Amino acid sequence: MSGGEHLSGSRPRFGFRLRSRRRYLALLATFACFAGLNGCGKKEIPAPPPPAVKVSPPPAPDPVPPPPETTVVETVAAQPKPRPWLRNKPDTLAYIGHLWSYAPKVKPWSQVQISLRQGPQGLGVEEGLMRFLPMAAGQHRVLLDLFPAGKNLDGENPEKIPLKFQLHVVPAVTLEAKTTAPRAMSGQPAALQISLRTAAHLPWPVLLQVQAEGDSPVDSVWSPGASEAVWTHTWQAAGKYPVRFFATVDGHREDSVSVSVEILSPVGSVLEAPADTVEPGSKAVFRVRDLTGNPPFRLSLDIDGDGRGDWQGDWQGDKPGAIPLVAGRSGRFEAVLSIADGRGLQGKSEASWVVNRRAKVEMLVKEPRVNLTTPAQFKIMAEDADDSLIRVQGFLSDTLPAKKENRPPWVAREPDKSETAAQGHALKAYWSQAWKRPGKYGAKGCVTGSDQRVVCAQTSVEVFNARPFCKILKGLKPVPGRPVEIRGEAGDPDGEIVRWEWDLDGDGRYELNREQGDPVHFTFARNGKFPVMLKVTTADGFTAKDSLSVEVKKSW
Amino acid sequence: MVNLHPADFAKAAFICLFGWLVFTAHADKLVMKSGEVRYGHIIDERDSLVRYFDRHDRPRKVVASQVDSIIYDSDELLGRVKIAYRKGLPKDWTGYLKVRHSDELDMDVIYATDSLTELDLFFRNGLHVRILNNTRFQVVDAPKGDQGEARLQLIWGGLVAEGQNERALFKVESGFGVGTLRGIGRMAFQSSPQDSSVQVICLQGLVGVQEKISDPGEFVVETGADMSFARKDGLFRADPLRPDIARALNRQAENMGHYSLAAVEYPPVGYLPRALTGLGFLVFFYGSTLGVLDYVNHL
Repeated sequence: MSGGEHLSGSRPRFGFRLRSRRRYLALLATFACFAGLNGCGKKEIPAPPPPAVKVSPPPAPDPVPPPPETTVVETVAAQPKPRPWLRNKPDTLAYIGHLWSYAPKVKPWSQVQISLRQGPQGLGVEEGLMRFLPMAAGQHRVLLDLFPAGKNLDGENPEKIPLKFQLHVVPAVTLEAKTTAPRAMSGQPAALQISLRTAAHLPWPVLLQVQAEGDSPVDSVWSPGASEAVWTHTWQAAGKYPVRFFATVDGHREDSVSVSVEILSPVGSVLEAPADTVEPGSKAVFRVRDLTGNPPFRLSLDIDGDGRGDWQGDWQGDKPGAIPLVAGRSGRFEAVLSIADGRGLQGKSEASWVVNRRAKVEMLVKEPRVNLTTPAQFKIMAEDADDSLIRVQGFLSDTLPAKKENRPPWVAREPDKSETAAQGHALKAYWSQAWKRPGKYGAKGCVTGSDQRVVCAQTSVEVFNARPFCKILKGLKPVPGRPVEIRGEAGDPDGEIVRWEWDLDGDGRYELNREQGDPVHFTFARNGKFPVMLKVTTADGFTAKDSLSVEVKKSW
Repeated sequence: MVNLHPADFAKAAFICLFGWLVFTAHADKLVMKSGEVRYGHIIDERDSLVRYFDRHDRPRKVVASQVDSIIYDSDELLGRVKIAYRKGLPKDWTGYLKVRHSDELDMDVIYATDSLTELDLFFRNGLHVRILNNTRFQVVDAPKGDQGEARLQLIWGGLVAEGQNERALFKVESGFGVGTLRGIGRMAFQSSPQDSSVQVICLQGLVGVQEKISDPGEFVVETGADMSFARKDGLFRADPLRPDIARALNRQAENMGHYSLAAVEYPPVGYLPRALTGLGFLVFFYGSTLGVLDYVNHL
């Protein structure tokens, strides 16, 4: 330090003298500590944390900082003021007790040179110079202890003479921030332009801290000098958000700047197209919800992608609503909803939907009522105008539906026979099924189109236990005393006759019980008309009856 | 010179006619296997021996194995039904059977057979009924001539009936059913009060069964088939007859065709001596009487 050598080489006339380099350094250290710098005893600069925000990286710090600029502080004042503590000690160097105290403005980390001169009533001779580096910005009290040389009148060493003055250190860092755009959209990054200027001789890097939305500050290390960066941040909601930047050098917050960012919500909405495939010519309802922007809105809906709006209208508020339209031709379309809000912003919302004609399926049963032995015959007729049919499958209920579940237990069955026509756009399929128990059974036929849509049709068939029938053959010519053969015919379409019962005496009781339907021989004993009755019973317990009035006479 | 008054000729003619009527009485007819025909009044007929009085009222007997058929004289029968023992003994002393062979049957009496006795009943309409053992029965109705139906109430037991001409009509009543035999045929009928059942077995001919006697007719077992028409629990069932039962019943009824009840005509030559004897006696008796009376008249 060349300054120190210069001071030690000069000797003040009024006994103020820095006797040695050691004393000078102690004075300097005391001076610096009294100035409130935190760097007392600090030998190393802590490593800065890595930047956590999108701050454009500052340039790398220059390893050799430039020499600090020197500020000369003149302590001579025109009107010295006697200090009380000097007044109490008049025997000391009272004449040099009139220091001019003022607050010069210096830049931090600039070299401050203090010249001591004798006041108007004193020696008036500049006797000493001292230099130091004020580091922190702000008002600093400088305490200077003067040790007069020589001895006082009593032959003792004079006491030190403390001197005080104010030192105003202006900020060494100048921070400016501005937004690149007046507004930003929510959900999109907003950019802020940051300009940082520091003293060229700043030996420490600058720590830039950003605080937005109440978050903890995010640090970023900048090198001294003039640099610019862009800080980006994304706000999810609209509003005005203050952003504060803090520049800190060696633990001291040097400067701060606050910028207000206005976040606007983008214009848009959620457009819901019909989820299912819509039949051509049928009603298609498009629903608009979550409309964002600044009302009122002007909406235009294009459902078929031809660029022309199929529906236009004003939309009051941001309430959800429905737009009923009529589907046109078949196809897959992208519906586009164009939105213009009250600020002139525009947005779009899209939704895809499909218009396709559903296959026409008809399930037919040849006989809606069949008996137990007759299989029910089903036929499905399907036609799809715009898709080819790739699969047909039948579902027949194998058993009676359960009481609790109305849905019958379906059993899938491939058709017994199928025919396709119209290049696959139409088909016919056939099934036949016989059930062993009477009841009502369901049959369902499903057709799958090339668009993977399945269309089913359902029908039902009632299976009944057919009633038996019987009949007594007419044409009897009985003669008393001669046996006559009485024949009966009976049958069961879905079973077997197991019992033939005859009542030939007209008492209502079937006294003749036979297992076969052979003719019965009966001998009428006298003339008259007598009823003849036949009752047959099937294996499942159903009966049939027939009666015939037989006239008996001696001659025919 | 005897002067005969015309009234005497009338008296003589009357006497001759009376004598003819008296001495032309009928008798049973036995046809021997040798072809010989004997007439007489059968008083007992067993499986081994047939006893009878010949035309001269002399007791005779013949081995039953030599007899081919017996025709009971219906003119000798005073009642409607003739009884012939088939098996067993008359048990007059026990009061069990109070009929004698060739007696007429009392239709107001319930008859019963024991475990050995079999009775043959002959009806005037050509019906032959064989009452089997352990049977209790009563003849309800019997025809007076060869027309009409015979009705028999079978309380329990069994019988075999045979119709020997087309006019035969027989109905067996039981509390559980009625069996009918019409015309030439053979029927077996069994009634069992233990299970309230009847069984009508057709061995031959037209056999029927009905529920009540008032029914308009009867179910007919097919002609010529060995069928069992059973009624149990109010229902009739027609089943083929078991061969062993058919065989046993046919064995019991195999000789029924060798017995019949019909009017037997005496051959005029064979009875001429007896007739002349009677006529001579009458002429002598009445002539003597007339002579005495005439003598007395002349006195």
